[in-house]
Amino acid sequence: MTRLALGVALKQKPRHTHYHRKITPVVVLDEIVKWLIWVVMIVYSLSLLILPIWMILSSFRDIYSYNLNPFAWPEQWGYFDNYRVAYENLKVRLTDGTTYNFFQLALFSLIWSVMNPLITNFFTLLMAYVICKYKFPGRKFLYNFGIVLMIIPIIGSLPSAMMVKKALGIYDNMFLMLLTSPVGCFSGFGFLLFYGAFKSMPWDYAEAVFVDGGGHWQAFLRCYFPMVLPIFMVQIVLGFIGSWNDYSTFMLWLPSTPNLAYGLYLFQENATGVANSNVVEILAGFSIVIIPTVILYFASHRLINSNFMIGGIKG
Amino acid sequence: MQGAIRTKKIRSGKRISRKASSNLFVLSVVWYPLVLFLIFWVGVNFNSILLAFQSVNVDGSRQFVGFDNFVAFCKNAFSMQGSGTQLMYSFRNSLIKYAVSVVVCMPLYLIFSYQIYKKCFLHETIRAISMVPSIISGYVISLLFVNFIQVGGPLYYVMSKTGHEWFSLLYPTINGKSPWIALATSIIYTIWLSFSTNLLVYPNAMNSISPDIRDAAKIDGVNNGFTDLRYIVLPLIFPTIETFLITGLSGIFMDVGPLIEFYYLSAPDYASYVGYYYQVQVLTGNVSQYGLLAAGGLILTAITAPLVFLLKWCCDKFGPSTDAGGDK
Repeated sequence: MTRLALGVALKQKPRHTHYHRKITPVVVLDEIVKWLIWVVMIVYSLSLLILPIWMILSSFRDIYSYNLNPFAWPEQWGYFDNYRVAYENLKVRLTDGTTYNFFQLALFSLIWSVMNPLITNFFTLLMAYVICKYKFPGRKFLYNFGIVLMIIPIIGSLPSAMMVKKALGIYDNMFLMLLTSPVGCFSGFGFLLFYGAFKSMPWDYAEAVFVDGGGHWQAFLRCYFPMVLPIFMVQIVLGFIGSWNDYSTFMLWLPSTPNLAYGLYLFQENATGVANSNVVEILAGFSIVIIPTVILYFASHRLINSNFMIGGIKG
Repeated sequence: MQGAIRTKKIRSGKRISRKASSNLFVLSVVWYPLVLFLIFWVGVNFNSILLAFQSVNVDGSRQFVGFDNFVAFCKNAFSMQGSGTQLMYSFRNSLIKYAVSVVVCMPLYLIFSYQIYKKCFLHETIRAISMVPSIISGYVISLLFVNFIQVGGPLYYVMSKTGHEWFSLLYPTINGKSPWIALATSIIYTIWLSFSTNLLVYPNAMNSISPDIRDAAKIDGVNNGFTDLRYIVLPLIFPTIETFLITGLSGIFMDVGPLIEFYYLSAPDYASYVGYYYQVQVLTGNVSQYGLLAAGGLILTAITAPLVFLLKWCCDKFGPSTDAGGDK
């Protein structure tokens, strides 16, 4: 049926033609199933809201009323004591005695969340550009190897990576971790996204820049970068959200510069957190930490929804 | 791609060929990522291969031990005693998790995505809400979930109010329940949160299908969701499905799941995954285990890599081929 459909499509039928839909048992069943799936989707969506709503409601309650009924509404919406306590207690004390307060944790989060996606995506963008648009020895190998890297599972290299990073002084050093973050930037979904975008852009723009006396960097920065900017921004925004919420990198590689996410984990666990806190204070802490990513997402969700697409992997 | 080699004047007054300036540009871009790749991918993996044949002492010194690590890992992997227990459970759980993601999750992603693509009532809202775990952090959601189901949390409150016996979903054996409950909890939890990216990617892939094909399909008699999804949409977005299938299989033994958030480093053996097992060994700083882990990694790579290439070959060979639409 697909072949037939494609064949007819090539005859350039006018779009948006209205076709009468015969009411058959299959069509009726189709409608019933469609609405049943819709109900399931609505129930699923509501289930995703339960935890965040519970978090926000509980963060405005005192611990005594919470203990009596963890599901109730707040008695008074202006009860910000939990937020004050969370802000004061959201500290991390390292084993060497160094203590980081809320602002220091937030600073580490901000540096990591801005710089990590920026550096990684910038190099990924450049690699996609040169591999797509320039002929040089090893170009096809790099592209194919990048695809193989995506699908070949390298398991168990974590201990080795730990040894190498410790030997090179990169372990527990945020600056060096950021500088060395674009490893394998000619592989992965981001690379394919940029590569696909550049592939659809003609080389004529660069030729025009060269005729005007411009160089290769100018061609890239003046012509191609603006055209790929929406996709780049999507990657940056998603990268920011991911990095802001990233605690495992800090747990594993940067234990001496904890970010808010890792601090929050320690705050909740009270493992090495400075102060013991109760559930409602912890929930208030969670509410504080998610504010930047929520704002960022709602400011850019249309951009993200329209520019995030993953195709096939062809080597 | 580029025209014939010409020359251009640069500020210093010298003339260099277009080809030379092009090569210089390429070199200025690729040298740094390639150096990083050589050190942190090639170097790290080469070191990992060496580690597999060595034992590491507490002071960091290494000794060649031949295939001892491989033998020890295999013995552990098929043993239900000592450290082998966690490894054995980890294998089983990782395989179950991947099977569930393919058999249960993928059809659900596609069906949900199709409804969003068809612009069902409130489709934008559903899509936005499905992104909630990604926006406010899957990690925060995990911690909320733990607080929600623990003693004193809302689940405990509801069960006690309705006269049901509460039991720990994370440590069910404490309350005399089946250990499968812990695995089911982590898998169901993962499924529950996994829709966000999928409801972003699949509808976008479906939207890339040419309207001409849709019109042609209607003329051909595609007048209901079943046939549309089966004969038009799925074949045309198959490259995207294939990508997720392959990368999913590729990461089968690297997936940590939500266990760090649920248990930190002390997950019960029956709830563990292989990825979690590795992460815990590294986080606990157990240097003496590094050789064993590296050998295990090589064995698992040797098992998984051919399977991944086989899956890719099967997808390319037997999957639907398209010569228009989609993004293949």
